[in-house]
Amino acid sequence: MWSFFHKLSSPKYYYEWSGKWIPWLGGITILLTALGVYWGLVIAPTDYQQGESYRIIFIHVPAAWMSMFIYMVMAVAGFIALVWKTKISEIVVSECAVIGAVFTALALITGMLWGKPTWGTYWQWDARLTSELILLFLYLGVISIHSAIEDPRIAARAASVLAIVGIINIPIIHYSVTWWNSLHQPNMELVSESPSMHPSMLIPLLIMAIAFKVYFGWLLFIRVRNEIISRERSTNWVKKLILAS
Amino acid sequence: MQEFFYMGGKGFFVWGSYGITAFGLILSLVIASRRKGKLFKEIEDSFEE
Amino acid sequence: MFKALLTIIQRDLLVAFRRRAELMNPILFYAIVVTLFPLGVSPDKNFLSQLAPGVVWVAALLAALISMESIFRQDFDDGSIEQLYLSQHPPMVLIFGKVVAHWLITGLPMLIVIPVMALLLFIPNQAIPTLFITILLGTPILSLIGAIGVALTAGLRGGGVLLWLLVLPLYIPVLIFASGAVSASIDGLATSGHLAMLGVGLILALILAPLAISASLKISMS
Repeated sequence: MWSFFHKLSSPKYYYEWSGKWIPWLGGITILLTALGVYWGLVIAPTDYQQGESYRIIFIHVPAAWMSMFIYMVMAVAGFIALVWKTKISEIVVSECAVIGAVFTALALITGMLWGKPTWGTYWQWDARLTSELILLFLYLGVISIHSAIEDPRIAARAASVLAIVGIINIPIIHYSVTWWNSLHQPNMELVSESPSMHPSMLIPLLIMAIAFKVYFGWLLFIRVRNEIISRERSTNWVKKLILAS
Repeated sequence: MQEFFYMGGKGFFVWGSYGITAFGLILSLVIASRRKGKLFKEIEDSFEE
Repeated sequence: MFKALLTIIQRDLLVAFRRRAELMNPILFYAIVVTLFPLGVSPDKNFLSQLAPGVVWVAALLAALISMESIFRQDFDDGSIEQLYLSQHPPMVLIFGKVVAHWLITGLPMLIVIPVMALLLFIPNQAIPTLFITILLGTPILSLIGAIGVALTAGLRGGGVLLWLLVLPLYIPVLIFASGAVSASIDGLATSGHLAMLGVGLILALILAPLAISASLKISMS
């Protein structure tokens, strides 16, 4: 087990190992997304309360889950990068920040598009939307400190510290925003995003959630591999690899 | 079929959010794979010098 | 070790008092920001006193951040920070001393200026004690978190704007609980919940922030 992780920290081994996974991850993503979208848009019945617009939930909620999940991955990678100083985990931190920011932005946009027909307004200072917006700011902070420092290894370590500070703060921010929201809108009767769902609606939601997770793995592998090639361009194995292609 | 795209009058929101998500996710993949092509070419070119 | 901590605080205070004019800057900045709100929104008394807890604290966040840069900047550039890491004492403690000194210079004066501005914003007298407590509990958190941001951006030339981007989102809980406490006391409600949260936040920041600050400074020096 440990020797496997040890091997993974070598860029060359990681490159070869992740290469085997990429076609599988891609295939599974496409299959699951097709199934989930078909189920969500066609098979799942119309919601009696929200009408058709509830179908946005099938992508909005998984995207929001991803935005938090990726932050966790980023912080764990950041911790590994600070303690063991492995190159791969340093790369994972910055690549996670970009992918996470995309998912957060998508969760916000789909949330707004869901809010208009459901609440009658694109934006509501609802606890979840507000936390998501702050999460986007945190991601953008990690991205900008990473891009501001020229040396990639120092940049990765600075971004890691920020990611870890952020992960300690996220529960506090989430709690404070929820609490603030309940203070300021005591009489708002909001339609909840995920009430106890009927299985015919829950299954496509879970399928989409898994599809997004696999997609994240897929994209992360591709991006990390690119970064490995870019940084290790002067090594022999990269030269061989490129001559062989 | 028409009814399916109409989505009970909520077509703009439903298709808008699915469309934007698909666009974002596919664009991310395209950018990543184009970077790979560029990188390979760049490094290959540096061999010839 | 404790003596080293005190020496650092003393030294930083001495340096700060050599440049007295700069001491006034955050206070002036604070007063000007607060003045903008009645001009920009409305001078109406009822309206302003509703807005006041938020305005008082948003301006406090901005003032804390604008004075933050000076905490390590000069010492970082002239190499004094590096000296701290070479000393026999744990750098975390010495750097904590710098944060304390910085708070004494920039955070403590807020105790004077904020109540004056609160008066101009028509915050009722009954809320003033709560306001004092939130300043005492809240501004040290701002200094501690802000110092992490400064430490991360210390090696960068144009670190200013980046600092704001990194730190402001982390300030949000302080803003919510502090202005919430003041609002609650204006409405005559219990404030112990908010204040307890601020206290917990302060303890957490006191324990964790020095770790992050010293790690970040080390990274910035490499």
